[in-house]
Amino acid sequence: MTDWIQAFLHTPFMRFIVVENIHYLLPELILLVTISIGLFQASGRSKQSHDDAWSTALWGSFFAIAVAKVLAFHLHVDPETLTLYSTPVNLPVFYDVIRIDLLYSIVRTFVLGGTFLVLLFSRAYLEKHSSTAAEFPMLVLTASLGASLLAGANDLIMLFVALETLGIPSFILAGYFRNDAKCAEAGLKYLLYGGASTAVILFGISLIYGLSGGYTQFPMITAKLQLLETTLSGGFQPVLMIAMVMLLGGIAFKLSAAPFHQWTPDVYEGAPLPVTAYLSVVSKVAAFALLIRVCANFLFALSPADAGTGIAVLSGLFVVLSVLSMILGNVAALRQNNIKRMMAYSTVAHVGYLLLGFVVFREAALASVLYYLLAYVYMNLGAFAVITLISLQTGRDDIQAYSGLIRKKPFYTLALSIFLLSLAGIPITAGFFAKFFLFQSVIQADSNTLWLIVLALLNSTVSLYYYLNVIRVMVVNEPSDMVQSLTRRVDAPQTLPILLSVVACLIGTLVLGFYADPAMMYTRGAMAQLNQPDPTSIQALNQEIHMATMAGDSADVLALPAVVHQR
Amino acid sequence: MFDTAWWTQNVALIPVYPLLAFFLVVFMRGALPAIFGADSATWKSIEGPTKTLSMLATVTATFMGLLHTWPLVMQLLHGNLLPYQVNEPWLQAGQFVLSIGYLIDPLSVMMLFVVTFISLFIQIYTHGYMGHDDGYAKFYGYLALFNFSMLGLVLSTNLFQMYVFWELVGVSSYLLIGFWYTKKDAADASIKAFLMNRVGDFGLLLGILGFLYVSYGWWQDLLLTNPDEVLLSFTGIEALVTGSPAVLAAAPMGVIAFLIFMGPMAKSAQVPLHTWLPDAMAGPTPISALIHAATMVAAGIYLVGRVYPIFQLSPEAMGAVAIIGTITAVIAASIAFVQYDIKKALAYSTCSQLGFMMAAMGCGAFAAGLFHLFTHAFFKAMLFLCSGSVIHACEDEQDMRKMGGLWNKLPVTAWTYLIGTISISGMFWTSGFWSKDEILVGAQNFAMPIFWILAVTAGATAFYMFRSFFMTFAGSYRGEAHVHKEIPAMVLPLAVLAVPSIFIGFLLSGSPLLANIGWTFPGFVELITPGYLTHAAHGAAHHGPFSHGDIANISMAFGFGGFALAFMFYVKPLNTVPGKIKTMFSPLFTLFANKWYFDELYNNFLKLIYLPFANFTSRFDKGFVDGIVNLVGGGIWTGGGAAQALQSGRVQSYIATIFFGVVVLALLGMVWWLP
Repeated sequence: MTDWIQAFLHTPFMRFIVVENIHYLLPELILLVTISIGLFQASGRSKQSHDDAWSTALWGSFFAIAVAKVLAFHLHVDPETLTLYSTPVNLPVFYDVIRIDLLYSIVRTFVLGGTFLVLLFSRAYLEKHSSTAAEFPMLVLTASLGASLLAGANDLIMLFVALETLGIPSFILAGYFRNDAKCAEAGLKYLLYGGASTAVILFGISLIYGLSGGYTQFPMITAKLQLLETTLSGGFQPVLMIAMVMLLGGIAFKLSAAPFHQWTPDVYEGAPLPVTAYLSVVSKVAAFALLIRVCANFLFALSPADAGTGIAVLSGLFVVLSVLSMILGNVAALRQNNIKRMMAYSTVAHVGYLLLGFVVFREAALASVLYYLLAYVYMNLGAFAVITLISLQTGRDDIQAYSGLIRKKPFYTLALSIFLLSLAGIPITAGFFAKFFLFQSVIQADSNTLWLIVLALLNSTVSLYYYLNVIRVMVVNEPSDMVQSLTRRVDAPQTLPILLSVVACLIGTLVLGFYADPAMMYTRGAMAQLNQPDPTSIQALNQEIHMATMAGDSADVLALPAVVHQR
Repeated sequence: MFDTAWWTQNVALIPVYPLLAFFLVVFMRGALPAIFGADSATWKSIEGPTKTLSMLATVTATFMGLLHTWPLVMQLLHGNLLPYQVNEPWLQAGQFVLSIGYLIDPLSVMMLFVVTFISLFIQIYTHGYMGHDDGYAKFYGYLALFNFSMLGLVLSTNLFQMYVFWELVGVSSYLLIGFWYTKKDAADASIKAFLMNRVGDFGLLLGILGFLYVSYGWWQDLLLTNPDEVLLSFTGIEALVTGSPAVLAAAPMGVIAFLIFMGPMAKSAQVPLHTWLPDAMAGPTPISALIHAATMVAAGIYLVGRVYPIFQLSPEAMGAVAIIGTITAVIAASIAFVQYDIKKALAYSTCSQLGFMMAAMGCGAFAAGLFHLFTHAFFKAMLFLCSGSVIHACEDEQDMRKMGGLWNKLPVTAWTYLIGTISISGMFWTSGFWSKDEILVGAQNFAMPIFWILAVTAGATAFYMFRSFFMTFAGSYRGEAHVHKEIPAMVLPLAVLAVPSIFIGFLLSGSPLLANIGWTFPGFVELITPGYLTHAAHGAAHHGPFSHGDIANISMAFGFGGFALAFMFYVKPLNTVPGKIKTMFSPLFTLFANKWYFDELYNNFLKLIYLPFANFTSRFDKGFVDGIVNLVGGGIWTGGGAAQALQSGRVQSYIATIFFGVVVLALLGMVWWLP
């Protein structure tokens, strides 16, 4: 038996896979296979074939998340020190187009976990809207494939491809009910807005490509930029700043950070509920991972003196985005009657809080951002799962439809209340610790941010109003006729998967709210790894130095290696 | 697998057992009817078994806890218990780390034993007492939760963790006292208990924070040099106080210690925060027994024992503890003279005994206070269960004037009640005798007035306890209700608890006589006294005027005095002698009967001072503060309208914003970047 395995592992194919680190991409490969099989199955006409496609999608995403979890939390154990994250797992895949590191591994689990939960609660909703075809899960999985790769992208081309793999299925998903006018409108708006922001991002990418003199891999670009910084007397490049602003603008669209958020309420309201949930969680998580990586590579990798200017400028821009998002999101959410629109603005507000972590671009603050994202996956997906459940039975999305729900559906009410309280940041929920860690680490990194934190706290107070309003309507108000007509009976079997995802999110929200430390350990580890000097880029840089001295460009390049090690 | 170390290393399981039982009960009684529907046939068919299963789960959990504690107790007795603690970080914010963990040392093992042992028998008793109650299963759920909180508190390694469980104990006691929440007095009593404890907890939290504030630098150094230590750990407190009091020299340790003491003052019902305890008798009797013997009130004494080094730093704080304890002992005993409700009389006796314990702690007799806590737990639990048995037999009659002559009708109850009475009076070498003696020894080393007051109060204890005994069991039956028989599930715990009530004090007294019966284990005082106290305790052992033997004689004499008075007054027909006494001392009697007017004092304070002030601030709040808030809220609300107006819905304008936004950001960046 073992011989057989040995023989298998020593086949040229397997050796290639292991040497090239391709096995670390197993979750993505599983997704790919799932999508291929699923699309074949979904092309059948019978109901049976669609059922099969759905099960394929669910099982495929389940295996993908399971493998991703194993890869993230178990295979990286250093056999000697038994530490989980300090291993130098910083492996290039496909000629360094993708970088396997802890940030990627962690964000991948968030993305795939979110996908699985969304798939769990989408089927019943789609069938209720008489859409039985099984393309839906395949589109979701394709988007997740892009989102997952986006978290590991280490190359400009890969970044763009992944971004579009995430984006294009999302446009289709947003307009999935094409006979429904509102939904079609959402899809079209999202497409147009997305196209415009893609143009902006592409412009930024091409500027960076030009600046680097023709490199596409991040480490090489970083090395080249660092070289430029020291060899040219100009110091920090204004062109680089403009390129960063363009990239930032494009990512801010994905994040729906104000003022790039305007598509959010319209699309969230029009899109099918599971798609709204997906856009508000999975796509945000991937975009944040990308933002961390882009910032870490292009701006904060500069030599200390110039990076100071760069960070100050970029911090200023993040302050603008963050403040605008917090205020606009919270204030606009106050007067929404539609719960999907309210959640849209609440997303904008949360993005505002999260961007605070980028204002001080420090290890602890970014670790808190990652932790916040994990909490956000649970609480936001949980809230959407309950909203889906309620929408399935009442068929309405306005908050008034929730009147007196506690009389008929006490569990829904309890679960939704917990998720909303967590979103508001009330203790013993994940949201409390997320906010606490984030604000605390930001203020610890730079005490000048005090006013920002005060502003964020004031904003959380405002947010309490609209979150508690939903709870008030559910608990205090007299039941409406429609709620009266609901039964207290256990729900039909097709809602069981939804309940499953609600329970999973509940457990996540409460456990993280009670015992936050282990998760924080991983996120801190991811950030520590991101800050370690990258051997590949040092090597590349040395090559550059060699070439530069050969060409006799400058004499002071010899000071460079020390600078690189200070990163 | 189950070697010596296993029991220590897995001691965290002890609170986990009842927690699992609690979850099981919640699942069975909460989730299952929701899943099947409360009216469905499925639920109807399994409802009965879930009740039994709730009881079994809770009792089994406690029994497992007791089984798990037993090896530790044996290790303690044989002197091979290794102090052990494990900590896990629970909340990290930069350098500031709060931890949870578990701590094994003689003190915690002693408390584990008391809590699991007493709880087990109270839970068995509950099966008989609450058998016909609708909330039978729910009650077991609450009991399991209470047990979890108390065991967690006992195993806490640091003040923060203890504070968490301290509050949990408060919450679960609130649930249990107000168990019959449809009865107004029970609902009121639970709120009163909770509020009174809030007052104390507020002081406790301030004290913890104050202590942390004055010693934070020291803790940081400690955590750097010793990675096994955690912030505010009890071992750390001990090291701080015994090692380097210079750090704390400038700090107002008296104030901090007193603030910390406010927590125990409320939990352990010390004057003036004691008024919740007698009212808490409105809860079911098993709860009275649990709260009064093993769990809630013991928590206060236990906390004082845990942070004892802090108290030792300040003679004023020690004095205050001693005086408050003594006053509590006296006042509660005096009120107990005139109670006619059998449970209230016992409640005040608990209050008085807690005063004894606290006074001992204040006098520096650390081990004596805990010894009395230990012995008191057994006989007080038994006494309460006896009273429950009586009340159950007399069809919920609690007034002792309507009892009497129950000696023949409830033989086991009567005998065990007599044993408890003798024990609490500190007579005839029963358990209470030994621990009360230790307290008196400690008191005479501290201050003679306290010694005499406590000795007289010990006599008073004998008086009011025998009074309640005679009123209940002697003479002839004066009530109308038909007297039921005793229930086996209720009698068994009584019989079991009677054994330690008689013997455990003697076995742990450290008396040289024990060698004659082949008992070679060290005494309680020796077992429990921590290392930092041993030296001082030995030095202070003999400087009062009386020897150990003298004190035993004195307390015995006072006990007999109390007994004789009670016999004279209450075995003869009622209303002759007490009536005369009543008229002779009528002002005093009124004072006692009105419980020294503490409730009136609080009510009048609230009515005359607090409420007018609250009204004033309320008007200020509504008029001024709310005005501002409404103004701001209105502004934000209007802003919401404006923000909505931004959302035109036109995709052209949206896309224009992207490009506009990028340009503005780029311009901003350029402006910031240019010098």
